[in-house]
Amino acid sequence: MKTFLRIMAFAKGNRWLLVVGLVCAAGYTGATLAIPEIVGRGVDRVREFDGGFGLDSTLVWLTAALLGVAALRFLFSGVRRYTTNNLSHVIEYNMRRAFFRRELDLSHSFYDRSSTGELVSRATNDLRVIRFFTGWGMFQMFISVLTLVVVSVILFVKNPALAAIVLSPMPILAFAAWRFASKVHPIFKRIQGRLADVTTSVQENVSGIRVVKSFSREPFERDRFGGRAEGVMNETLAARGLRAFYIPGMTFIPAVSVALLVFFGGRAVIEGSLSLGDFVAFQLYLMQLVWPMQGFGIVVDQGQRALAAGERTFEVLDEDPEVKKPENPIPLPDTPSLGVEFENVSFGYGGDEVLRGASLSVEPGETVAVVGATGSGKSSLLSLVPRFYDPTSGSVKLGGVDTRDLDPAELRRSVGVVPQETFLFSEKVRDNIAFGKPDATDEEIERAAKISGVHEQIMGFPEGYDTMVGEWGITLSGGQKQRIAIARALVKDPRTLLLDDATSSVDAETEKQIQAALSETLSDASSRTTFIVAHRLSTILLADRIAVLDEGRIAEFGTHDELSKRGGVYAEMYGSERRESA
Amino acid sequence: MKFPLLRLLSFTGPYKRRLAALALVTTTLTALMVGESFIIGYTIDEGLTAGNMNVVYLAVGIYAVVHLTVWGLSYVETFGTGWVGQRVILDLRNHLFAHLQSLSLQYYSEQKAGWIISRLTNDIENFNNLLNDGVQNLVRNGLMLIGVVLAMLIVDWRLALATMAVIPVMAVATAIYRRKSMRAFRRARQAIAEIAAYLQENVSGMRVVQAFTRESHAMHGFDGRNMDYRKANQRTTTLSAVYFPGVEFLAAIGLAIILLYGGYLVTQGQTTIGSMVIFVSLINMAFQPIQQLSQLYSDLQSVIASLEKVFSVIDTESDRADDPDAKSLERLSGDIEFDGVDFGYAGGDGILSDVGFRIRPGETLAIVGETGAGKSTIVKLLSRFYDPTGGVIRVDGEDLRNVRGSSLRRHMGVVLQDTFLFTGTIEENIRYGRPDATREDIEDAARAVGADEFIKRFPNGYDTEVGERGGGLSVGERQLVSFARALLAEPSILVLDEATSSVDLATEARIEKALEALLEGRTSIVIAHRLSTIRRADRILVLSNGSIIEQGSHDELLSRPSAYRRLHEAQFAA
Repeated sequence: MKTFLRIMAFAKGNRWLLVVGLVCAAGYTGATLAIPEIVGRGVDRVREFDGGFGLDSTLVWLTAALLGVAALRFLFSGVRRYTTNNLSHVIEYNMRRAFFRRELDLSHSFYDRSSTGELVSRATNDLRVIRFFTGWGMFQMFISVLTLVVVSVILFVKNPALAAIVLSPMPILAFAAWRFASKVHPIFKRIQGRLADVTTSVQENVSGIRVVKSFSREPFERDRFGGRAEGVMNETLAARGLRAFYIPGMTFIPAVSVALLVFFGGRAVIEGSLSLGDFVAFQLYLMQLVWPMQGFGIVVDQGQRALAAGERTFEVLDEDPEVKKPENPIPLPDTPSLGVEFENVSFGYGGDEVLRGASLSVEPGETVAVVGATGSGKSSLLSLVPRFYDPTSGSVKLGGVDTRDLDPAELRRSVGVVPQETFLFSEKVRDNIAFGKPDATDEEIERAAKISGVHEQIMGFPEGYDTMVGEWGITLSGGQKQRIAIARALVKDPRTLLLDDATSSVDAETEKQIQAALSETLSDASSRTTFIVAHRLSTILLADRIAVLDEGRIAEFGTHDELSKRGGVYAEMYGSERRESA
Repeated sequence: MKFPLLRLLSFTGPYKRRLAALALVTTTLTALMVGESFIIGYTIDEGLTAGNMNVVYLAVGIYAVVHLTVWGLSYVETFGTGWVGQRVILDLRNHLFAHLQSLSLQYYSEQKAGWIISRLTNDIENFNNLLNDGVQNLVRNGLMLIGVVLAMLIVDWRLALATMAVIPVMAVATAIYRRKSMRAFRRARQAIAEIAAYLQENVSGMRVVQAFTRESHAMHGFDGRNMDYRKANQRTTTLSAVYFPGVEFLAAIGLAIILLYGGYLVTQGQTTIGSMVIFVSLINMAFQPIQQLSQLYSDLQSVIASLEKVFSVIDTESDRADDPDAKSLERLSGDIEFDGVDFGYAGGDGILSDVGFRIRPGETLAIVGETGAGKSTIVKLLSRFYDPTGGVIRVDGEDLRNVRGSSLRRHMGVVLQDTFLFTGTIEENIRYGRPDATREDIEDAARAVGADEFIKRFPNGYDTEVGERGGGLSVGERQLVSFARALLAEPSILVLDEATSSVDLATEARIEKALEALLEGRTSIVIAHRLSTIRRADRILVLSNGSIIEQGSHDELLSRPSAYRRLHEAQFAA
């Protein structure tokens, strides 16, 4: 019920659609039930009327009334469909919007543990199920219940004794509906889970096809996929079994009523205590229950599916964005560059802590290389600066302000990030570079591309800067992607630049060019605080100072010469390369 | 248009007999449901009007039996169609999956990942939904319609014909509705596909979106697509808000005809009241199916579209299907020869031209060159992911084109720069290439590449779960895991394509030391930008613009003014 109300809350501003829909559904039910009444009168009239030629005027009036009611029903039904379907579209639209809105706000830790395929599936498949229910199922349920109530009332008014007998099986219906719903709900949740397994399997086999083929593991993946697909099948069949039993069962109950009518009502007609017209009307009314009751069964099924889908949607909507905008954000100081301070920072991804009390103070405009063993926390340290994550303890300060007191949007606008793994959008090269500054001029874009050493290659593409990137466009090498990503970060002219192993896929000569161009911008502006994660000494030497991460702490911090002489971790790491290349 | 549905029939082959049995069940069910209205008519005419209580008893008995049978048969029908339908879906899924595996890497580089994934998930689910609610109704309603018409004609042909006067009107209305709704539904389908593709890309790239504070831009793009979908759906709504109530109205006209004309016939003594009541029941039965069929029609349209896409994937040729008499390589000593190899993607520029070299068993070859020079292409050709457009590649003297690709790859270990780990534990990921490896083997391999240390640092050690985005493993750590994975498979040929680009120097040095022992007797190819990695290679190949410009040992190349020396100086000039 709570899930249902939460779904309905997304109709905000359009509640009138719900009201109109319900009124029309009631009108529709009334008109539908008036029809057998008219037909029953007609049958009585035909029976009484014997002899004579031509058409009986009463019959003509009844026919006219029938058509009039039918026209009314046409209107009710049309308006009902129009309003309720629109209601469902509004709900679907608003829910999908809220869903994506929340996705935009969720922090990296959420994306660390969720799969893309699963999230896409929730925003498409699950919401579609909800649309079906809010557009049709919900009102069908209302119509079914209302029909049952009105039919009961009419039958009781006509003939209370017979009505009591005939309607006696109806409570079973309520019980059956409840049993069906409670049994089928957990299965639907399981089906969704199994489907997610299948999606994950497919996703991995598409993304990792080269690994699968390289290890000749196709048969294994086929079996694994087959097993998961079979899991979906088994759960689906379990639900199917319940459906096969309950839905025809719910249609059986009105049939029991008809049997009771024929038996008891039939005797009453023969005894003369019931008119044939009343008997026919009773029968027609009970027939009116068959479809609503079958519909009721289907709607119970659909409703449970919609609730399961709703719960899955709310799971995401209820995710707490860890990185929130503070109530009274402090503006960043308006200086050309900002110092960065890590104060006793600890951080982990749920398991063991990666950073354990790291402290580092970087002057405005300084370039710092971050080095350390694989897994020592270099990327983690950098990702704390634009608040992709918050530290578990300690604080990160930018320009003297705790990053948690800043508006995340302002913070991120001032920081340029080149991540270790490059992601480009399926858009033009130009749009990819201008991603962080949509209003960048062609000159700005080209300047950034020149610094990152990719301008000439772009000019060699079929349509230059207008060439499409990605799956439907040109296939870029790892090095080209990395350099476009560097250009993308540079074009925003950030006050703080984070290069996370940004040249790992670039050959030595190109790297040297990038370095030369970078060091030019680094020194000439000297306005930018820069962090470089790197392994190659030549890159490290671009930095003013070097921070060495070890066991989650800053073990050493100083210039290359200082650290080389100290005989610590750094000297151990880079002494050898220096010796060999010298 | 019907084509995909016919093709689907081939998937029902194994279940022919069950389907035949189900068809029988459905026919019986329909007959019973149509026949049911006769019971009431019979009771009224023979029992109530005649005052015969025995007829009433008989009618109640028959009625109860009929409905119990309907319940039972409905169970069989519903569960049976589900049983067959789910198996057809399973077969279709497995078939499609197996076929996807056989497609070339080219296919994967040309198609959006989201597009391919959608075939196996959304499209099949779409079909599943139709099966769930539709197919059974489709068959039953079709039969029901025929049954009702027959029953009407038998009871009273004059009244039947009069009632059916509304049918031409309905046929025209239905034709119009179908044509218009088809267009509307097609637009809706395109709109939802747009949403899915947009989400796929933006969720994958969410870190970038957030890093560059482009949330409002992303939201704007999403809103537009979301609204397009809503509008497309609204169009279908408007159509159905007229059509379906219209069908109900026509049913009421039919009822009016029965009342007026039927009433007239009764008063003329030409038909009975019972017949009239039967007609009233029958007309309800006739119009319900027509409505449901129209409703299903739109679902069917969308399923046909989905199936078309599914079959378009199945119809994509497995690019280089192995020759039927291709050899399976049981053993490989690792003698590799490239002989005048040219390569270019279809329709693109040449990537490699006249590349020739030989690696003897046990030798290590290093390839260097600028980005885009064609280094990785050599590896793809050697793995037989592509065939050369000119020249020959031989392994152990055998032309690769005569070798079964999968048997070749079983002897090769390839470590790529873009490491891909599967959802599962670290142990499962390392074991990937050698399913029968013991825990000791796995730990040995991890130790050899220096991964053991960080793995043990996790609270769950080797049982730590990793996933799509590496789940807490850094890029360098993932490279190490995939390195261990390749080593464990004990390949005869080891290919390292930028395998250690994100690993720190100390670890790399340790790996190199371990490799010396591991590479004994193995042929290996190393591609690296970091030149420290390749100094130990027996021979170094310098590639530029798809051609070999120089080759020789580290010392040889350094001793003369070479491109290699330039690269070397670039990296170590401090």
